[in-house]
Amino acid sequence: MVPMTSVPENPFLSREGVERVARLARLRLEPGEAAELAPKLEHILAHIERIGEIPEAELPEPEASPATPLRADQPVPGTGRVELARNAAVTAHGLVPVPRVIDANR
Amino acid sequence: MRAPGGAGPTSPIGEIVSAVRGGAKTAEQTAREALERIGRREPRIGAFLTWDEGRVIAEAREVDRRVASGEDLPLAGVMVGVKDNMTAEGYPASCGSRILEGFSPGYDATAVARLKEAGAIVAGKTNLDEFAMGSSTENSAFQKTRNPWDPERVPGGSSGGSAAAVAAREVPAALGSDTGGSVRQPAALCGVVGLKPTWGRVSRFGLVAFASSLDQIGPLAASVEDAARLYAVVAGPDARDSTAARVGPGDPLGAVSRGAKGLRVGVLREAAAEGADPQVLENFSRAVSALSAAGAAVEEVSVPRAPYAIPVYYVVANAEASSNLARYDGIRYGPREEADDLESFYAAHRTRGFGPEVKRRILLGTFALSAGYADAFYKRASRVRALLRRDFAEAFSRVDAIACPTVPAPAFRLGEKVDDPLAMYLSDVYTTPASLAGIPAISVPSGFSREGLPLALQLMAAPWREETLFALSAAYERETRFTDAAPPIAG
Repeated sequence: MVPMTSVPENPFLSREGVERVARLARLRLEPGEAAELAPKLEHILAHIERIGEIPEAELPEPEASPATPLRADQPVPGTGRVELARNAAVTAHGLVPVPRVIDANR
Repeated sequence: MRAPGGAGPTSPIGEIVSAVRGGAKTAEQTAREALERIGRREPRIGAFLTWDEGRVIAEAREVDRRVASGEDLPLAGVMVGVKDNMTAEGYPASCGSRILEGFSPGYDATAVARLKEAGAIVAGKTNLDEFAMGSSTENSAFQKTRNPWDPERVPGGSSGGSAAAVAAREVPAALGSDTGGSVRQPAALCGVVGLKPTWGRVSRFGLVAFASSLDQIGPLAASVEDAARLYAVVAGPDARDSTAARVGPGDPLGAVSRGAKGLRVGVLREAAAEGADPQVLENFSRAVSALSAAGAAVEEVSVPRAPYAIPVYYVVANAEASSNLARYDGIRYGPREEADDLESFYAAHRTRGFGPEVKRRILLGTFALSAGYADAFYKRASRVRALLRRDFAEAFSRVDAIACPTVPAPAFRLGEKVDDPLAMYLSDVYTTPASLAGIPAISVPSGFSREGLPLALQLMAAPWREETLFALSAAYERETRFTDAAPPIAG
């Protein structure tokens, strides 16, 4: 098993735990959905915890990804704003509007 | 056991290319014939999400013009299905998800551009599990795809549309993407050949990211030779993808006729311990005998951590997916949600746009990377993965290839596993080890179950040794002729 001594309680044991992870993932759960998801996630997690069976001493450090070659930093023609905005559901003055990000009352 | 169904040529693509280049047929004729097959068979298969007859004919006429002008096109007139998580100009790229409904990228993925450059024609975009997450194609937000061998069963996934389109002989070949088995597993369940190349062998420019340390584009075709023909065109470096290695494709077509003599094949010791259907293991035993009869030297080999591949994969892949899919914020594309503030906007868009399996994986991945859990899950999984890579390196110091079944059971019934995600994940038990190790692996048909459903042999090789896979699997194919079989719908 994964050594859990320094690990907080498994979050998927509770509805609140699922909701907490959902908030981190920018997902909103419907009423009842967290309670329905919790046992399924627990079931999957129980299987995943098998990675804890391998003794710590046998485990190498993760391998660093090999560096990828970089191309020359030269400007080339891009896709262009008009083409990029073609997929946006809403545009205004050639821009894509977003909800307010600064509190107007401050 | 001989294959049921009709017999086919060793290289349907070779026949098409010869006919088009030799003037016996035009690319437009081959395209129209394929469109007619697609139109007739699609109501029973559902492999394609979109196709555009006008665009297909226009592309075919352009191929005819190039052939007439003397261009040497290795895939002249070949209709190819493209999984809908790759971009193709003029087509949407939905990834099987509501969150990308209506999104049209307007450019070709490098693999698609190379196919077109070689004279192939994009037949349309094929169905998939949403964002390539699944093993049955049932996670598509748009439609079910049925297995051409039994319409009550799944085609596998996530490249189920590509596999079904080739199996039903709607098109001679297709592109899929393979993160944990998504080319090989559907190829196996549909009785066609599927290759996952070495990680970095094929450019991923234009492939929508799922798990970047695992994703790889690969071909599906009716025979080993045809898979090699596609691979020869799409493999190679690309300035637009810095993870595409600076290595050429080698000589895959030469390898196809090289034979198995002198090659050492290791039979995976751990294959029997995976809870596989007994008839899968019996079939595998016969496949090993056939490899031996084809001239390969067979011995047993162990990859001791292979049984940990599923748990490692579902930590690493989900962690990367939770990061990659964070880009879907609803601002620049996709259906628009209204909300009072940005946080609510994101959550509303993502909640409405993602399906249940994608949400489940994002939750698991977010958890595996979250403070307090990352060491015990993501970091530990990465270390077990490093150990698994070492196991493979050790094994490949003794043998040229490792053999095991591709799937633990033949195609299951539609709906059978949708409520049991873990059971669905275990469909990938034989395919995830090669994904985690970044090594090439091919699935080749190996006969049929008692119910007449396809089974398959998987061969894995050391990084960049795709030629070994082509040589061995083509020799096996010549020995058994199982790739001659096609389902009745293709008759």
